[in-house]
Amino acid sequence: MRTFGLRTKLVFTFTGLFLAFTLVFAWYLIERQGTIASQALETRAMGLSGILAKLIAPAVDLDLDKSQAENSLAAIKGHKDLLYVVVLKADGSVYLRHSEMRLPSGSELLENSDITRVEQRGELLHVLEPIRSNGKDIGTLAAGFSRQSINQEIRTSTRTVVSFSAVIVLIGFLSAWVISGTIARPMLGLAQKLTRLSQDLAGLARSQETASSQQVSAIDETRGTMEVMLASAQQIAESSSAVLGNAERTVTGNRDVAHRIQELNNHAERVAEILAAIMQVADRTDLLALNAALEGTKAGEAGRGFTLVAAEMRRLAESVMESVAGIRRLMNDMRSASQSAVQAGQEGIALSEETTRSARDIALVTQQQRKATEQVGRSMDDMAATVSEAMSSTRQTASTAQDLVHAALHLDRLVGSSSSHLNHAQRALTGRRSTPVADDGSGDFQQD
Amino acid sequence: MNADGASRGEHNNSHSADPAHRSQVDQGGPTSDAVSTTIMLLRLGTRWFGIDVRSIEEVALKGEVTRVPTAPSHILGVTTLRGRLVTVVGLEQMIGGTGMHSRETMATLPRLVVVRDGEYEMAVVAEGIQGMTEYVPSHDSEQDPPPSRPGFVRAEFDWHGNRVWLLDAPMLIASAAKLAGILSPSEEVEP
Repeated sequence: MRTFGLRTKLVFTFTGLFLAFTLVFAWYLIERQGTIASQALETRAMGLSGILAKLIAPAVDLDLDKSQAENSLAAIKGHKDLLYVVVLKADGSVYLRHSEMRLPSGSELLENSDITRVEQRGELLHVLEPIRSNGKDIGTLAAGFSRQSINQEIRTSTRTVVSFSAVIVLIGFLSAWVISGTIARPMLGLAQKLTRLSQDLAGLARSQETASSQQVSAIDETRGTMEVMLASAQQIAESSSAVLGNAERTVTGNRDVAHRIQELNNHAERVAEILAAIMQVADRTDLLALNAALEGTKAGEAGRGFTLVAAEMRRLAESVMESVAGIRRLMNDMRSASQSAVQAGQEGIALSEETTRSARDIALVTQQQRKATEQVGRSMDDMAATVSEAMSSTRQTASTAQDLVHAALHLDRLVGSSSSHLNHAQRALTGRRSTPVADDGSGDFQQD
Repeated sequence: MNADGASRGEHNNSHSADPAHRSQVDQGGPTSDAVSTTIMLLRLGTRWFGIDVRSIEEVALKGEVTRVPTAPSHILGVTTLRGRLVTVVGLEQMIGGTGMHSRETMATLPRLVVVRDGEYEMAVVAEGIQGMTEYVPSHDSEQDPPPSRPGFVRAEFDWHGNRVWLLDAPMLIASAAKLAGILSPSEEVEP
């Protein structure tokens, strides 16, 4: 069913009102004009008939000649509405007959009347005026008047009223068109805006509801993750406690190793001192053997054996010195190794202490993390409750938005929006995805 | 006669002064009436020296050497040996001091080789003592000494690839005394 817009309705309404008012006014005017004209004609006819009756009364009373009586009627000859004048005597005989036009027979009303009577017969107005002389009825004047002039005036007035009414209706139509335009256009804009806003609100409500659902899912996942993190934090705390114990034992062990290595270095220093003494003894022995060989050589053949023994002693001393030198090299290597070991031990102690501090920090951080995770879990619960409330509010908002869309549609329908706009509003109301239909040619969207 | 220091560490082979080795020492070839001399081989830096053992009083450990004021540079100072005051001479200062720096770590402590010429004795610093060996003088080694060779070097010869200067102890003492501005016993003996 085709619906009309607000402007059309306003135009139709205002134009109808103007038309009805104009019709009533015109009908009233015409009727009033007719009534007034008829009354004026009756009054004029009665007045004229009375004058004629008084004028002709002496002639009838005296029964004068008709020509004299007609002289009395000369004053009314040529009257535009007067059709005929018939004078009846008291006995009912026609005293005088005057006719301005040919009338059909029987159309004259000829009867005596003791009172003034006016009768309407079609286009004729019959007046019966008694003729009195000295207070006695001596006859009756019957006069007929035409209503053509009245009808002509009524027709003229009707045309004027109709033209005036048409002008009024046209002015009313134009005024209604302009006024409806000034009223309907903003209302149409507001209705479309309200429709769009309600669509947006509905879309936002759906999006918010979807987002809230996703948020609830995310909160559930986060809560699960928080629980896993809590378990992990507990496990990390236990592991960090074990690491802390191991690191403390490592520190103790490294310090023990460093202490032992320091003792070893002290022993090595002692050995070095002993080696220095051995070296000194060997050097002195070499020197003594050298001098012994020198003395043996100076002694000649007698000292040859002494020289050989001295040479063997020098060889022994040199062997001792070579061994000492080898031991010194080994001692140096051992000292370097022990220093490296001490350094490594110190680094190990530093690392172990760092590990201890790190393990304590990890334990502290893990404890804080556990508390934070628990706090986050509680916050997740609060957030889930808040999101649930928000979802309820969103559903209520969506319901309100749907009501608003309904109202907007109704308003839009009342205002007279386009069909595509209504379709959009319908889709916004249903919230279903739409696809364009190519074969209808209208460019409108059709619901899936 | 074998060198008593033939097996020392700084020389990784046995340096013997046996007759077979003696021909190597005497490169110029022994003369028919040559008499072998027992010498002590000592090292100072990279140079090798030989001194007749008959001129050597003893070999002592180098102790504290006291520097003598206004003494020339070759007089390193004086030290006490068994109650005697002995002058310590540096060979490197006497021969110019080139190439005398040690090229390896000494196995033993520095020695003082005390040489004697009559009543005069003097100590020479040695960084190492190889031992003793037999030296047979040759004609080439004692004739026509090069101009750059000091006068207290009596001869020079090769020993296991090392050039050895054979020192004349009396001339060494005389040269040290002369450089110090005093008369030496050799100069007193010589006209």
